[in-house]
Amino acid sequence: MSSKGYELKSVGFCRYKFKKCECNEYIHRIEFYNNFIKVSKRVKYISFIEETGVKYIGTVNHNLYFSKKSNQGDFEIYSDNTSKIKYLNQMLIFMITFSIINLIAGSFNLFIASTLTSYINPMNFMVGIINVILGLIIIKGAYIIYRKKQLLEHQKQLFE
Amino acid sequence: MTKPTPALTEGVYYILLSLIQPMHGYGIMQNVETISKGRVKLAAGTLYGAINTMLEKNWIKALPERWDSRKKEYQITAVGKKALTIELTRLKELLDNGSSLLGGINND
Repeated sequence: MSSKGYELKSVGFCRYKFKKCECNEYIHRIEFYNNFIKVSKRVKYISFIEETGVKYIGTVNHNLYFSKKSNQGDFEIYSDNTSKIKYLNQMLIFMITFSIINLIAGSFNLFIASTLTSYINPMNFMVGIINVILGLIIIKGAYIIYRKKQLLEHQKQLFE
Repeated sequence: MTKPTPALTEGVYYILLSLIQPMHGYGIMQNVETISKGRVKLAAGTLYGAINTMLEKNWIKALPERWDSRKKEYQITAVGKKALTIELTRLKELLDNGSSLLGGINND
């Protein structure tokens, strides 16, 4: 959006507010953040990032949104392989936990749907199928992250 | 024989060097970029992680906040200086071996 001349002003559930600005005036970055970590820790982290001239836009669904004026130089959250790997690991743990929960809930629902009554309970069946599909989609995403992490680890054998 | 300590990362090495003087997070980022002539650019998330690990290891300490600034400043400790000295010796060894061996090959 920045290349089209828009700056992200605020974020909310399924809602993003943009404001017109110069083309590429801002660099936006999204960072996954495990919300189960203490709130005070997150506040400390955000204020540290803000001290480096970065604007904090908001948090939605475990994602922190940041922006920085592009004339102030590059803007990345992580600059070395070690911290990138650590970040991807955090993401992987979160995704794998969620997919396992979904797969268990899904199988449980399908089990109930098919065994408890003589007919297939449509409600349990539907919920079960949705859970299983969601679990599989998350696993697919986790695999992409895992490959990315492997690539970085491979690089790390030669470079810092 | 002393136990060999693992090499510091480039970032950690430059952060420790910067913190010989008290400095806040953004100051460290700018200083590292200046002294490395723009080669090493620390990203804020990486710096945050490194600072927290070094605080845990007691290599650096957070200074009491000043009334005129809400930015937290950090400074190297004696333990941190020791880690830096060990690293400097290691780097010197690398440099000496490199220049004597590679230098020899180049002269052939």
